[in-house]
Amino acid sequence: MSNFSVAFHGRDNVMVLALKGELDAHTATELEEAIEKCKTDQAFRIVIDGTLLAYISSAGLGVFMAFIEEIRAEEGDIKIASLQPRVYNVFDLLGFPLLFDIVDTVDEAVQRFAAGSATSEQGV
Amino acid sequence: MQHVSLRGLLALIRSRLQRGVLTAVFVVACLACSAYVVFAKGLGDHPTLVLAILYQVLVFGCYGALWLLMEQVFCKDQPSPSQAFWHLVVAAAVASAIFVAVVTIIPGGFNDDGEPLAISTVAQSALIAPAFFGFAVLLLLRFRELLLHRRTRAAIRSWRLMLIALIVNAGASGLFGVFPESVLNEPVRIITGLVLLVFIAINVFRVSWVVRLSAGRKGLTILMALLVMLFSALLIVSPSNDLQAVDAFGFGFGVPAAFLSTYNAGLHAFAVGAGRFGIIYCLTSILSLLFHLPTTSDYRRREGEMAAIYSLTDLVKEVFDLDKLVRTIVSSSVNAHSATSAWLTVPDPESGLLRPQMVAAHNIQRSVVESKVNSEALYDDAASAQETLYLKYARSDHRVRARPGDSIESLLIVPLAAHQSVLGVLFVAKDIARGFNGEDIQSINAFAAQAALALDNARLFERQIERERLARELAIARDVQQRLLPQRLPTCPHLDIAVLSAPAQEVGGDYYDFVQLDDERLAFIVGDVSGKGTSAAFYMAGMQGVFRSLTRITPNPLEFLVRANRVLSESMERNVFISVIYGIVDRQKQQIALARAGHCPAILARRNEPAAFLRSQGPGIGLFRGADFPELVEVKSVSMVPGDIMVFYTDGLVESRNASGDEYGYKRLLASVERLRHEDAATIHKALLDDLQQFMGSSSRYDDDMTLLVFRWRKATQA
Repeated sequence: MSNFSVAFHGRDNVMVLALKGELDAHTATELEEAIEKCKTDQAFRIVIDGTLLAYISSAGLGVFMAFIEEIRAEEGDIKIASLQPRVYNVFDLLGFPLLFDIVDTVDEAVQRFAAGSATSEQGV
Repeated sequence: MQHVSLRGLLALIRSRLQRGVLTAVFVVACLACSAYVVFAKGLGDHPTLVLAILYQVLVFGCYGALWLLMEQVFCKDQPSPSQAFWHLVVAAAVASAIFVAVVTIIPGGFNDDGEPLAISTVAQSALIAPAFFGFAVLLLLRFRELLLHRRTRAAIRSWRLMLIALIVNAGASGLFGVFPESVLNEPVRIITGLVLLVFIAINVFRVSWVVRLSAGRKGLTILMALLVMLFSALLIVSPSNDLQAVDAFGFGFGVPAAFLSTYNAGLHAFAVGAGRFGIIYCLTSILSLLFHLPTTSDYRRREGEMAAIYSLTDLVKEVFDLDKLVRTIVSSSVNAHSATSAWLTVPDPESGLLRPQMVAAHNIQRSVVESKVNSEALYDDAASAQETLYLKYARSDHRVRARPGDSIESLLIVPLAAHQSVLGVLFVAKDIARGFNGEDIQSINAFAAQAALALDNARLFERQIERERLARELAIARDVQQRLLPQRLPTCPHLDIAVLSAPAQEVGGDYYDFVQLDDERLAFIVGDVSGKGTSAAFYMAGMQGVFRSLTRITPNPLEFLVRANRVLSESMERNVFISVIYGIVDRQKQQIALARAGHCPAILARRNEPAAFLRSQGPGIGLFRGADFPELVEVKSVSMVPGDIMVFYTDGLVESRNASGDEYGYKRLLASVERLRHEDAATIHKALLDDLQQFMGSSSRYDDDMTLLVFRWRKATQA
C-alpha cells in the first residue's frame, strides 16, 4: 500500500537511511519510526540518502524538524544527501539549507561527519 | 375496519347458527332415541327390521351431532397438557355425578346376565348413555390436542386412521346389534376391534408434550391421568362378565357400561374403544411423565440457554447501548448456563491498543478477577487460536492464581468472533472443577456467536453515530474557517485583486488575508501551514489572529515576520512550520514591499520583462526559533506600474498531480502567467485555474489545500 520505504545501513559509524518513494503526511510516521530506532540504537550520526526520494511534502519535512534538536544535543546530526533537484527545491524554498547540512552525495555527508569528529577531537 | 368486523360478525352468526342446528338435531334425535329404547326394549316387543335400522341411523346422527357440537364448544383454543387432563377429570366427575344421581333417584338394575330388570332401567340408560358418551368424546378431543402437540403429517394421519377404526368398530357393533344371530357377528367385531387396537398402539406413544412440563406440573398431571384412567376403566367394564366383580365393591347398581350396552350396542362399542385408548394413553403418559421427571431440570436449562440466545437477539434489535449489551452478555452467560460468574474483556477502545480491558463482570468483583486471573494471557491464547479454551482444573493453571474459596475451579474462555476478528473474550467460571460438560460448552459457544454478532452490530452502530457526529463537527469547523478568510475583498483604486482558496479536506492550513492599514497602505498575507486537516486548520487560525493584530502594530515586513515567528513558535509543535509571504502594498510609493518566509516564491510579470519568480531568502515560520531568524529574512521592494502583475499561490497548486503522476510544476505556472500577463486579474485567475484543471484532467482531485491570489496594478484614475 505504502509507496515509501526506509532502508538502513551503517557506514563508518554513520547510519545511512535511504529513503525511497514519496514522503508525505501518511508515510511520515515511517521515517519517524526509523529515526526513533536510530535514537534507541544510540546512532546519532544520521545521513538521509535522498537518491530515490521522489517527493516530499511539508509534513515530511516536519519529521526532520522534529528530531534535529535532540540529535544535535547528543552531539550528532542529520545530514541530507543526494536529493533530486525537484525535492531539493522544496527543502530550499522553506529555508532548510540554513538549518541542515544538505550535500550532493552520501559519501560527502559521511566524510563531513568524519571531518567534524576530527576537528572536534582536535578542539578537545 | 368495517369490512373486517362485518366479516367477523358473519362468521359469528354462522357458528352460532351451526351450534343451534347441531343442538336441535342432538336434542330431537336424543329424545327420539330414548323414546325408541324405552318403548322397544321396555315393552319387550321385537321391533321391525326397518325400525331397528332407522334407530341405528338416528343414534349415529344424534351422537355425530354431539361430537360436532362438542368439537365446536371445546376446541376453540388449545389447552395446555395439564389443562386437558383437568378438563377430563371435571368431565369424569360430572358424568359420575349424573350416573350416581340417576341410579339413586330412579330405581332399576340388571340381572346376573346383564339384562335390564325393569323398564326404569331402560330409562336410566337413556340418561346415563349421553353423559358417558359425552365423556368419551371429550376424552378423544382432549387427547387429540396432546397427540397432535407436534403437528406432523404422520401424526394427523394415524390419528384419523384410529378414529376411522373406532367408528368402523362401533358401526359394526351397532349393525350386528340388529342381527345378533349372524355368523359374521363375532369375527367382524373381533377383527375391527383388533385393527382398532393396532391404531391405538400406534398413537399412544405420541407424548412429546411431556418434556416441556415443569416438575410440579408433571406430578399434578400424573395424578390427574390416574383419575382419568380409572374413570375410563368404567367405560370398558363388560356388563356380563365383570358385573359380579364390580358389585363386590358394593355399588349394587351395576356398571355404566351395562346402561350403555342397553341403550345402544354401537355406542357401547365406541365408548369401550375410546376407554381403551384413554387407559393406554393415560398409562403411557404417566410412565413417560415419570421417566421425564428427573430430566426436567436439564430441559429447563436447555430452554434457558435458548432463551438467553433469543433475548440477546432481541437486544440487538432494540438497544444499541454497548454498556447494557455487555452487561446482558455476562449476566446471561451466568444465568443460562448455571455458571458461578462471568466477565468480558474487549480490546481497549479508548487507547486503540489491543490490550484487553474488562468491560463487565457478573457475580464477581472486578478487582478479584484482576488479582486472581491473568485475563490478558488467556485472552491472547483464546483470541489467537480463535477457539474456546477450557481449563477443567482452573486453579492448577499457571495463568490463574485463584485459591479454594474464590469460586474459580473451572473456567471457560470463549472468544467472541465476528467477521474473522475477535471482538472480545468471554470468561465463564464455575465453582467446581470440571464444571462444564460437552453440551455446556457447545451451548456457550452458540451463545458466544450470538453475543459476538450483537457486539459487532452495536459497535458498527456506535461507530456510525460517531462518524456522523464528526462529519457535523467538521462541517461546523469548515464554516468557521471560511469566516476566518476575508468575506469581502478590499477595494483599492490602484489594484485589481482576484483570489480563491480551497481546502483539500473539510478544513485546511491555507490562509490569505488583507488589512487596510490606512488610505495608502494595504497589508496582505498568503500562508500555508505544514500538513493538512484539523491540526493545520488550528495553526491557520492562530496565524490569522497574529496577522490581524500584529500588522497594525508592526506593518514592516521584516519586523512583522520576526515577531510572528516569535509568537507562533511558542505554541507550535517542533515539526510544524508555516510558510508565508507577507507584504505591504503602498499606493503612494507605487510599490509592494514583501518578505518571504519559506513560501513558494511570488511571480512578477511586467509589461516588458519576462515573468519571473521573486525568490528572496527567508526560512519558514517555526524553523528557526532562536535569535538568528531576523538575519535570515530578506525584504524585497518592487516598484509597480500599471499592468504589472504579481501572483501568489501555495504549494497545493504547483504540486497538483495528474493521473499519470506528473506535477503541474513551477515551469508550467510561470509559462501560463507569462502567456496571460496582458489580461486583467480576474481573467488571469480564472485562466490559471482552468489551465490547472485541464492539466489534471477530470478524474483527479486536489489532494492538498490550494490558494491562488492575483494582483494587477492599474492606473488610479481608472477608479
